[in-house]
Amino acid sequence: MISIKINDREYQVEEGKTILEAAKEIGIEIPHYCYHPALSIAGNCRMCLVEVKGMPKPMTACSTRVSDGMEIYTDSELVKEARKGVLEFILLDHPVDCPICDKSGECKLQDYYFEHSAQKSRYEFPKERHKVEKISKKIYLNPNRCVLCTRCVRFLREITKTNELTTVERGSHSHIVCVDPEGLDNNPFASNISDICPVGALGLNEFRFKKRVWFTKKVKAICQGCAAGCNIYVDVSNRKQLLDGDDDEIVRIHTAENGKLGQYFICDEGRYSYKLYNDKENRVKAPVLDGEEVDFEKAVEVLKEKANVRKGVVILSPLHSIEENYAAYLFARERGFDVFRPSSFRKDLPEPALFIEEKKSPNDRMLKLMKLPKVSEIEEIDYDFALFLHNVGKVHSKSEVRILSVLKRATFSVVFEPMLTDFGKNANMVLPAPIFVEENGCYINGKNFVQHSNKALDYMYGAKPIWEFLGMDFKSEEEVFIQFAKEQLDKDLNYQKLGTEGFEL
Amino acid sequence: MALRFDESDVKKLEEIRAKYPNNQACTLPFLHYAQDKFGYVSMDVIKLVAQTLNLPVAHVLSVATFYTMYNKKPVGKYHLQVCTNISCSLLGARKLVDKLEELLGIKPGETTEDGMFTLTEVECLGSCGTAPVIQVNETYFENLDEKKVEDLIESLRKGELDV
Amino acid sequence: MSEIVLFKQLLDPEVRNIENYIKLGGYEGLKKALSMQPDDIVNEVKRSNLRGRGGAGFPTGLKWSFMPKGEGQKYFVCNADEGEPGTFKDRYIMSENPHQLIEGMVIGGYAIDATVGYIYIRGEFEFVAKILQKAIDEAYEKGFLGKNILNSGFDFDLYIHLGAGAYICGEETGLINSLEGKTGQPRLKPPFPAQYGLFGKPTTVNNVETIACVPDIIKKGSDWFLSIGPDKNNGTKIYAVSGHVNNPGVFELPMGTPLREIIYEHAGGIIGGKKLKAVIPGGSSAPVLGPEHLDIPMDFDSLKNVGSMLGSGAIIVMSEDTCIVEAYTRLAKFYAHESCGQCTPCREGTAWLYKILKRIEDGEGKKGDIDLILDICGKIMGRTICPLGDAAVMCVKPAVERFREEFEYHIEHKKCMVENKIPIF
Repeated sequence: MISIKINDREYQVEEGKTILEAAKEIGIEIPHYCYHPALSIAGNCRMCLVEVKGMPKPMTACSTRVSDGMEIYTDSELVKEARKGVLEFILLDHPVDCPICDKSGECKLQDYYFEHSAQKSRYEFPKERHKVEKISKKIYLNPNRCVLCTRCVRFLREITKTNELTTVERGSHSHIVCVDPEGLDNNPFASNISDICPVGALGLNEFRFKKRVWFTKKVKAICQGCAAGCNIYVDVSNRKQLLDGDDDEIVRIHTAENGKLGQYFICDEGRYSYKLYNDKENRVKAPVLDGEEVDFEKAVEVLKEKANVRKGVVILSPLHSIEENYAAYLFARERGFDVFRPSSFRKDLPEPALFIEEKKSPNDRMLKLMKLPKVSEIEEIDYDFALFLHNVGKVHSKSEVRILSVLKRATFSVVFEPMLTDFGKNANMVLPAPIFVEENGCYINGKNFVQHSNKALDYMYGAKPIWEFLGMDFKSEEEVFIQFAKEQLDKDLNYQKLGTEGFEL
Repeated sequence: MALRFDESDVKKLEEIRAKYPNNQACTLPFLHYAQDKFGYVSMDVIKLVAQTLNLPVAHVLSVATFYTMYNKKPVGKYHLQVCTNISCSLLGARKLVDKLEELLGIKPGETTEDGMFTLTEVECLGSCGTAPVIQVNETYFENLDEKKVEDLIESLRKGELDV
Repeated sequence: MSEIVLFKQLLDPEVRNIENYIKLGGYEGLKKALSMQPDDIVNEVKRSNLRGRGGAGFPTGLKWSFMPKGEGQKYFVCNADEGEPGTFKDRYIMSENPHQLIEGMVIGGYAIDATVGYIYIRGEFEFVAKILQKAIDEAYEKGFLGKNILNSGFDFDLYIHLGAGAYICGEETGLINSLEGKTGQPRLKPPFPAQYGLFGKPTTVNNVETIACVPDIIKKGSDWFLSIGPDKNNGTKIYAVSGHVNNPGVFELPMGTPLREIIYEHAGGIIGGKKLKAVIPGGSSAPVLGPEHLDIPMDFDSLKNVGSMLGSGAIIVMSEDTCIVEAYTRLAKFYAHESCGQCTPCREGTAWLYKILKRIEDGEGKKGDIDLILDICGKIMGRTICPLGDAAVMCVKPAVERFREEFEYHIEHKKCMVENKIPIF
């Protein structure tokens, strides 16, 4: 650790860090466009200029490393003036079409302008205009809004190594072009360039003109698509709109970084998976008993009666949270029922694979950690009671067959799932399970990271956590988690201790 | 038809390649070579160079558009590049451009209909002591005035000059 | 006649041929150098006070001493991207006396332990490159290049790399990127080329004129070099004079020769006996001077003292018939055209400066435009990745300040105050 001063206050920081990183850790935000923690340092936007005592010129915080005794000013008159200057330059050719820009509301140009500039432009010349176009099935490019930070170019060059975009020409005529639309279509990570674009130059075709971001609520969650456990933001509508009545649905999924996990991007499959959760048609909308909808009380009563047997089985799910699974596990343990786990569905990795795991479930690791036997080990017995937890997604096809046969042969079978599947269709009773954003939940990813996913929406269509159907006495998701951590991980953990970045086991 | 380098090209390109430790460093010389061969640097030429060097098209395109000597569209047989930077301008480069516009009936950036001449205004050619200067293809014509420009065009039209 | 260090063509017009060069004592510096320890060569160059002739005037020996010791590929690169408006000196070294540059390259390579050298020459100078290549071929034949040079055990290969039209490649890291086959966008510094240069290896980049001084410094010793020119500014300088003079051209003179002597004696005075209005002493990026500066010694320190710079030693003379507004609008256009587009202040600022100046030149200037220009200059200066932004400011700002009245006249009267000017636009 070395000692530096920022704005006359002394701090201890790690050697080798840049001024921008060191300041960020202390909680001092230095504005920037081109800097991105996962990309090479470009130093081109000049927004992060700070004053360093003894240096004749302001320095870029993104590229200057801290050294012992360094005295840095991030709010001096020189710095403020430099930021103002950069913002005026960036905005010279910018269309300032915020009313029709989808980035509006989460745009760094807007934010910084209000925070650091707020001056009238002195530029009185015609602006250079380029064509706005769809550069792939998923993405559009509006070069007029571009600030040439080159994050997108660097992402495609350094991370996916696919080079679909590049800057062309030079000087004030420089702009970004796409040389390989097909490549972008096939790039499993292409849509990240919309997230990392700090302004409205790159966006997703399907989000274009769809929603003002201030009519959405942004909630941090864990992607359910595979065992990578990528941190995502789930944006949900936060108010009824006059034109479309769609409320209570996921508007989009985008990247939430997790530096601890080294995850700064998400795959397109995960990003576009939100549509699966908006499938209202197939949603189980109430408890169903022998084909008939019943109310919650009736369901609880029937379950209580049917589960009062000796030979029962509970099959957990790698697609459900720790909380849902562990509640069901405790239910089984109390009654001396067998507990099994299905194998995860697997899918070959795309090229490049970066942050994708073969196992297509978010919580496979939890069931493995508990050393639960696989469903393939179920002996051919006819259970009196069988409960299976299922979710959006799939389990391994061999497990599927096995589970279906258990359900069919059980005297009374129950499936807890949000969307009606063959499992539910072959069960005596179907319970409306919540989708992941309707409750708090934790997941253990393939690298043994326990992470917390936040509730974004209320329980819909009569969905409730499994413990309520099973008549168990938990007051919250967290209570289940605390018990799981104590009993299975031998750890005193709660949501607060997990923090926003999770905990490595 | 797709563009290609023939055997003799490949041999020459290999000689260039030997000067550098990697393929990327050949981007500029290969583009020069390709421009000489194909006349200008079209998107097809960019793709050919990228393919020959096993480099991303994005890279070669950004290089080709960054440097002014790569002609992104066809140029005439004689590419008249008039320096209009300070030293040449102080000694009448503008008059040379005007004269050429009059003689050729084209504006800077244009090519005559017969494909003989392209007129371009360029930045300092490093010939300020012999200003004003016009570079025709690879050859510098220095200490020019309007009369000399007339003679120059006439000689070029007659094919008397090897440039 | 004053000492000739570089322009040996004045002694023998055929010195570009290797035999003639050798007859004049050529490659003797190399022979001597190869019998010395590399460090001793670096020290000898340090002692000579040789300073970079490309523009910055950085001590050459000191620059060489930044190169790390030890194994591993290192590179010695010659900057022959001569592109600073008004500058046309290096081409005459390369076309008339190429062996002196080649000899300097080998000596420099030996001194910094580089076995490969590149001469990055601007693409427009292809005809110069051909002459240089012929000289390189001759040097290979004679064993001054290649393996085991003069049985010293030292290997050095020298290649020419042609640029493709970009002023920014004269900036050493832009040049390195261009040599690597990329766009000539300058790099962030640190790391400096001596640590992380060409192909990621330790690299030294020097200007043609600088390198060409080295053979004679080694052959005749640093004391001889120190005897030419004023203290800390030693050696000769090739002054390239252009613009409104009767005898424009290149003149090798002792560093510190007064501006008046260069313009009025060597360059034959101003055309038509007109009055001097403005003079740029070191290429377009050097702040403009006026008639009161004529007695300034043309060296690094003297020019710095009056707020300008020696730069490349390119002197652009403007007579009373010059419209400063028009001349500087043209120069502003140059910087906007050559900005690499990488960093915001330079990319946007240079283009904006040009547009405002053009508006004034076109008689459409507005009140406040002059202050706006000066304000924009302040927002570019010192805020960019490389010195191109600064160069644009050092070109435009002093001119606007010095000739403010002329700019104001343009704005107010919507026309030029200079009669009989030669139009630039």
